[in-house]
Order: sequence, then structure tokens, then C-alpha cells
Amino acid sequence: MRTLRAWFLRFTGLFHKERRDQDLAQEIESHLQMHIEDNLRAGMTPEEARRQALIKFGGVESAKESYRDRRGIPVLETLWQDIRFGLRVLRKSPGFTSVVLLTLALGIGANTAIFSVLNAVVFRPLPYNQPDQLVQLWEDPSGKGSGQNSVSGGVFADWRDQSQCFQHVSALWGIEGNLTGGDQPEWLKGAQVSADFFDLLRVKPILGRTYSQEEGQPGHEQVVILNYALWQRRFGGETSILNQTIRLGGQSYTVIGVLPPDFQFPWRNAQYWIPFGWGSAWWHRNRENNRLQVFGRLKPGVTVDQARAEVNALTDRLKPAYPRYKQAWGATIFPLHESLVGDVRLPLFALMAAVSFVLLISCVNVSNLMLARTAARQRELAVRAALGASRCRLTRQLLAESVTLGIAGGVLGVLLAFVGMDILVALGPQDLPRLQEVRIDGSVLAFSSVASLLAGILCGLAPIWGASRLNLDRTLKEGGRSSFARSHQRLSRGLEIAEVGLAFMLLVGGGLFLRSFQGLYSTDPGFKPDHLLTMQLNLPEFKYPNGESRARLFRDVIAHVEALPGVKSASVSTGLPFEDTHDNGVVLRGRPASEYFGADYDFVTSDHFQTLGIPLLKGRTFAATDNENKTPVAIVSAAFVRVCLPHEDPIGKHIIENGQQEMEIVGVVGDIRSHALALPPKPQYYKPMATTDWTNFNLFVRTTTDPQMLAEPVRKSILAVDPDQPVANVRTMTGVVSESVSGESFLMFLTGSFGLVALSLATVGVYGVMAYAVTLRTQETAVRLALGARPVDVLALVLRRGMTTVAIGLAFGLGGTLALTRFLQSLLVKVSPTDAVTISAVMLVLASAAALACYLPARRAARTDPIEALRCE
Amino acid sequence: MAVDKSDVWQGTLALMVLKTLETMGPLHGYGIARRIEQTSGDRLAVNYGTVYPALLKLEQEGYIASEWGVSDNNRKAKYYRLTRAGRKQVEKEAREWEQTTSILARFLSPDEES
Repeated sequence: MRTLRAWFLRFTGLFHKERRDQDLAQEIESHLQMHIEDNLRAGMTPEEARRQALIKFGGVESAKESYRDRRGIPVLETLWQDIRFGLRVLRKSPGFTSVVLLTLALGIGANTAIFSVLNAVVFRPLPYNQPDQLVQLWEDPSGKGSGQNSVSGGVFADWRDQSQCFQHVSALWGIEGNLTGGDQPEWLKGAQVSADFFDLLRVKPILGRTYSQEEGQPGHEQVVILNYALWQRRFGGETSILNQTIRLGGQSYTVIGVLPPDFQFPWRNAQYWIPFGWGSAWWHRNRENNRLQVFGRLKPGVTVDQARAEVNALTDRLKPAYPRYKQAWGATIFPLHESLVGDVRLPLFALMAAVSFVLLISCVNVSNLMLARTAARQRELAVRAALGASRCRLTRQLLAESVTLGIAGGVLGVLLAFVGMDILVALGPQDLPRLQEVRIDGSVLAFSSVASLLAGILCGLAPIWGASRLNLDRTLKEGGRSSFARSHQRLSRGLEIAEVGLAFMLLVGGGLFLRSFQGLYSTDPGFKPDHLLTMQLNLPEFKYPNGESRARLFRDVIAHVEALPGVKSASVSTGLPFEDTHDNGVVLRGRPASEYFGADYDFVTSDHFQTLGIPLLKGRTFAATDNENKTPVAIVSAAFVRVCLPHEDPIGKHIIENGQQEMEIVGVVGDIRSHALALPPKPQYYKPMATTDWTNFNLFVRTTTDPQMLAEPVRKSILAVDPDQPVANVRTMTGVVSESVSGESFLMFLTGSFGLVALSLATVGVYGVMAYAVTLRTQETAVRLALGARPVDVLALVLRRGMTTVAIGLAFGLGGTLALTRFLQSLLVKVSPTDAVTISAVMLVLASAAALACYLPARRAARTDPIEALRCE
Repeated sequence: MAVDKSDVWQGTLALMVLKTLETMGPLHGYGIARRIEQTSGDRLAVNYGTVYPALLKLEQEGYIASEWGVSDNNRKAKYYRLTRAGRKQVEKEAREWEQTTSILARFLSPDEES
């Protein structure tokens, strides 16, 4: 208590110093006077009395000094002094200060922005109650614990009913539906989930309730929960929406609840949620048709490993009931967080590493600038040292300056990050999970503060080192360059080497992602995405109950669309490359069950291959007569043939799908990369539209003009056929392709930008060091010239000196690159992490930039007027 | 000089100041310094200047308080007095000192008993 009080008083002692000083002086004065009077009384002469009193007192100034030390907090006081002095010095050189601040603000701002993404996506726990209990369950085609396949209804039910490790096991799958009954029909994305799904997440609605147990039973499932945005947008945020009936996909649903505004289930931007009436659909009991995402909440104390072991044991026990093609399959469980962010962790860490390199380069640059300034200030420092400032005090002074700069740069940087954040989120790939959670919060600010502080200290190290080599005697005598300048230059070149090396690594990183993206983007997807328009259609089941009726609608729609000027052809498919694919297990008739393999399938209209530009390799395409009443037929892809019929004629062979449906192969078409440009084509087969049981379709329109121009006419032709039929997601196919590589392009864009920033910083850095070196050597150069050296000799000399340093930097950079880029291996497509083209290109670019940066000062040196320069000395 | 004067030990000055104020009542810095020297029988060499930081420390800790007053010979001076906490502190520290010295005395006394 007492000490606390004393510290508090000492803290207040930092203020009102003048008054307190007067007080003390007065007190001492009266002390001396009393003493003198006593001495006089004792019979001394006035001079002697005063002398004795002063002797007895023992040094008035040192008493005052120790009194002042006791009164305030000396460290704080000098710190404050240092900072004020630092600010004054910085204010006096606004050019230097703003360059430094801008450099640091960019570095710290970029770091803050990237860290806030990393923090939101990877570090922050999921925004649900006890998120570490949440897991996702998959069927595992590899059987070795690495595969992730969506789950069939039957297998999900096995897990839900028979496992003991979970409080809840819930399933979700995406649905779409047209919301009708308002001004105009609207196509919405939604999700169908198990009745206990929100109990699993422990999400409470802000209005109404979640599903009851009963609403998960067939016949009771006509209830819907809305998300906040839909409620606000379509229903004006009225609480009276509860218990009202809305029409979705031609069916009636009672609204029972509204979800909180910040609720987002990361997989799907679902606007409405309806429960499964479990058992009402054929695939609920089927173990072959895989379409569900399954989530679990572990019981308290149960580990993921225990759950995994249990579910695997369950899978083994139930194997006899599994379809033949799944006999080797297993099950995998991953923590929800892991299965959500597992794929983006590495790219984000790579970005974080890249951006911290940028900050490092900024610091090196600033450090070099400050070092040059210290050199210019060495007289000032020497004078201070001569007047009694200790080395520690000088160090503190310089550190206070650089840390002040670091913190000011950090504040600016965070402001920049606030602005940059929105751009970053807008640029960010939309499939980056949790992107909407990105914001600057406490931990981001803590990160930025530490980064600023470290940056400040880092920037100060070189000048401090430089100042510690200060030779007082010589500096004061010679009043300028000298040994200090030389040791300073060595350090400065060291920093330059570091800068060039770091920039090299960063540029190689950016270059690799650029090459990778280029390679990816130029990959042939197997169809022709240009001049192709696509849009989604969701057919209400009550209106178009079966494949025949749907095929008939599409025939009409296609006829109308093809009549439009600028349209070459049109087709409809259940699939959309890169976004919407479905798979099944298939085997050839007459082959053993062990030869089952997974293949993608789609229902398509007859003109589909022609419209997308997929070549027909063999046989025929579908005819209008390929309907439910005829022998089932299929067209397969080249990859399909490679997998099961490498040496035979596939035409006329039969496929067995899911162990039941048989189809005759009537044609072979080219492969398409339907999952991702980076992945090889999967085996695929197509079925005639008239046999479809799906309700979500994609219309494709091949145009001769800009496809975007046809969006409206096509929409109108569809409405002309069915006025109640909305279309959604009207996009060009090139847009779809770009979106499919948006993650890669984001990575490329950011690392490329970081590389460019690094390049310019390094160039400026090299220029700065060279220019300073040339200034320091003006005299030497002048002497050389006076003694007969030609300007070109001087030019060569300076260039050689500069480029030697740069070359060492490049060598270090190359070494670092070879050591580090292999961590990028898994992020690169078709490019080796030590790609010679990239590395040599970067080498060339960086070397030319550095050469230019050396050439300008060198030219200045060569133009030195020896007479002028020598006279100046 | 015949007698060796001891320097004031670290930390003991505070106790001396407190004890002086307890005995003498409110007093100015000069008076305190004089008094300490006298009490020691002139065996302590007190640099009068060192009394002031010690006084400030005691004041910050709340054992003494100060105010400006007028001295016997009509001179303006700052007077220090003991606070209640100061009184307790004198007792406590005096006790501790006695204890310490008595323990040390046992060590140093020639007829040590075991």
C-alpha cells in the first residue's frame, strides 16, 4: 500500500516541476541561512560561516539532483524527454519522416490486413457454443482415413442411430426453391437439415423456435426457418411472419423461426432452412446415393479419435449391408474447424510469410535511412557524449526515435488496413470460408502493436550499432567522415544484401504463383467457355412431375432461345462444370463387383455436347426418342473408357449404376475438367434428359455475339414459355471458369503485389546506399579524376562496387529461395517450386533494377568536377 | 581529527529522522540534521544535503507531513511532523533494530553461551 502510494506521488511528481523546484530551492536556501546564522553566532567570520555551511551541506546541486530523482520517476522522465526530442528531430526533417512513415505504414498495414484474415479464418474458434465438440463425418472411398466423400442417407442413419459417441448426428444438403406469392417469383438457395441441426450447433433463433422432434418425421416437415436477411428483405422484419404460410418450390411451409443476423453456416449461403421428414424420400434409406454433409457434436470428454474408431467399427460391422462398390470404403471424422479451414491454412500462411517479408524489407530500408542520418548526426551525438551522456542514454535516445517512428507507422498502418480490409474481402475468393468474419479486433490490434514495436526496434538497431562505434575524439576533431563512415558503410551494405535477398525470395514466390496461375488458366477445360451463357433453373415438382415433362419444357425453351438472333444453340444439363457435379458407383455388366468405380453423371439434352463444344468421339448423341420408355442409354467420356474399357469398343456395352439400373453405351465424348482446372478429368457418363429425376438444371446458350448481351432476351424467352419460371445466376461461362480459380488468382494477385512492393523498396534501398557512398567518396573520386582517371573508369568503379553487393544479395536470395519455396509445392500447379524460368526471370529483373539504382549515383560520381570538389574540402 | 566519524548507514537515516521528529516535535530540515549529528555525539558525519531526499521519501510514504512555517529567528522554513502512520513506523522500526542489534550482540559478545 505504502509503496503504491509512494509511486503514485512520484508519478504526480512528474508534473509541475518548476513550482516544486522553487520550493526546494527555497527550503535549501532557508536551511543555509539558518546554518550561517548559527555559525555567525559561534563566532565565525561571515565568509567562513557561509563556507562551512556549504561544506556541511555537501553539494547543493547534487542534493537537488538526488532529490529530483526521488521526486519523480527518472526513467520515465528521460523517456519522455527522448520521445519529445525524437519528435522534434523528426519534425525537422519532414521528407525523411514521411518516407519512413509511409514505408512502415504500408508494411504494417499489409501485415495487419493479412493477419486479420488469418485470424478470422484460421485462429479464431468457430462462432458456435463449444466448437471443439463439433466434427464433420465423411464416407471414405480410400478406406485409409484420407478420403472425404459425401454421405448416403442410409449410412448417415446408421451412424445417427447406432453410435454412442455423439450428442447429435445431423445431416444437411443444399436445396433450391422458388419463393412465390410476392411481387415476383424469386429463386432462393436453402438447406434441408435434420430436425436437431440447430440443437447440434446450439444456435437460438431470434424469433420463434427451432424444429421439434416431431417435425423430423414424414408428414410433419412443412415448416421453415428463415435467415435474418431474407426475413428483413422479403418480409420487412415483421414479427407477424411467425406461423404464416409461405410458398416455396410450389409447396406450403409454416414459418416457425428466424435465425440471428450473424448466423452463417459456412458451407452454404442458405436463406431458408427446412427439416427432413426422415424416411419420406427413397434415398433416405439408400446406402449408395451419396449426397449428404454430415455433422456431429461429440459427447463431453469424447475425443475425435474415439469417435473415429467407433464409426469405423460400425462401418465394418455393417459392411454386408453396403453396396458392392463400397466394400473397401471406410469412414473419416475431422474436427469441424479442420474440415472447414484445412485447405486454406497453407495458402494463408504463405501469404502471411510473404507479407512479413515485405515488412522486413521495409524495416531494413528504414534502418538504412536512419543509419545514414545517424552518420549525418554523428557530431551531435559526439557532442552529447562529450557532455556526459552515457552510451546507454544515447542508445535510449535513438531507440526512442525509431520506436516512435514504428508506432506512428503502425497507427497509420492500422488505418490503412481498415480501408484495405474491405478491398481484401471483396477481392477474396468467395469460397474462402469465414470470410464474412474478417474484422479488426483485439487480437489483430495486439498483433499490429507488437509488429509496430518490433519494427521500431528493428529499424533502430543499425543506427544504434553505428552510434556505438562512435569515436568521440576523432569525430570531434575531424568533424565529419572518418572511421565511422567506413564501419557504417559496411553495415549499410549488409542491410542492402539482406534487402536484395529478401526481395528476391518474395519475387520468386510471386512469380511462381503467377506461372502456376497462367498454366492453370490456360488449361483446356474440355469445353469452350467463350461465347457461352449459363443460368440456373429450378423446376417445381408439382408442375413438372417427371423427366418427360421436364424434357418437354426444355424442348420448348431451347426452341425459343435458339430462335433469338445471336444464338447458335442451347442445351440443358443437371451439372455445371466446377460448381455442380454428382457422382455414382458404376460397373460394367458382366464384370466382378470389385471393379466398381466412381463416375460423375449428368442428365443432358441432345444438343448439349455441341453447345458446350465437347467433341463426339464415337457413336451418337441422344435423340428425342431416348426417353423413359426406351432401352436406357448412356454416353460416356474418354476417361470413362480409359478406366474400364481401355482396349475394347465401348459401344453396345452395358453400365450398371448403383447395382440396379442398366444402360447401354451409345456414344463416347471428350473429357471435361468438371471439378477444377487443376484436377484431371474424372470418368463421366451422361443420361438422356427425359429420364431425369432432378429438379435443378443449368441452361447453356452458345452465342455468336457477346453472351452477356443475350442474358435478358434469353430470360424473356423462358418467361414466354412459362411465366412463373424464374432463372438465377445468369453468368458467362468464362466468368464461371474465372470464379473456379479465384483462390489461385487471389493468391497470385497478393503475392505479386507484395513482390512488386519488395522490388521497389529494394531498388530504392540500393539507390540510397549507393548515392550515400558516392557522396562520402566525393573527395576520393575528385583525387582520382585529378590524377587522370577517366570518368568512365569512375563509373565502372562505382558500378562494380555496387553490383558486387547486389550479386551477394542475389546469391543469398537464391539460397533462401531453394530452401523455402518447397513449402509452396502443394500450392503450385504444373510448376516446380524451383522453376528455372521464374528464378532466372526474377534474377534478371532484380539485377536490372539494381543496376539502374547503381548507375544513377555512379553517373553522378563520374561527373564530379574535381576542382570544385577539392576546393570544397 | 581524533575521532573517526562514521558515515550514515543506508536506511538508518530514515529511522533517525523519524525518531528525531518523535522526540522533538515538528522541525525543519536543518534542525533535524543538526539534531541527528548532536544525538550521535558528533560521531556521525551527516551531509546535511542528504536529509532532504530522505525527508521526501518519508513524506511520499506518508510517515511525515510538511508545511511552511516560521523559525525561532523569524525565518521562513519548511516544518516536518510525524503522522500517525509515522508514529507506528517508529515503534516498529525501533523494535526491529533492537532485535537486530541484540542478535548481533550475542554473536559478538565474548562470553558466548552455547
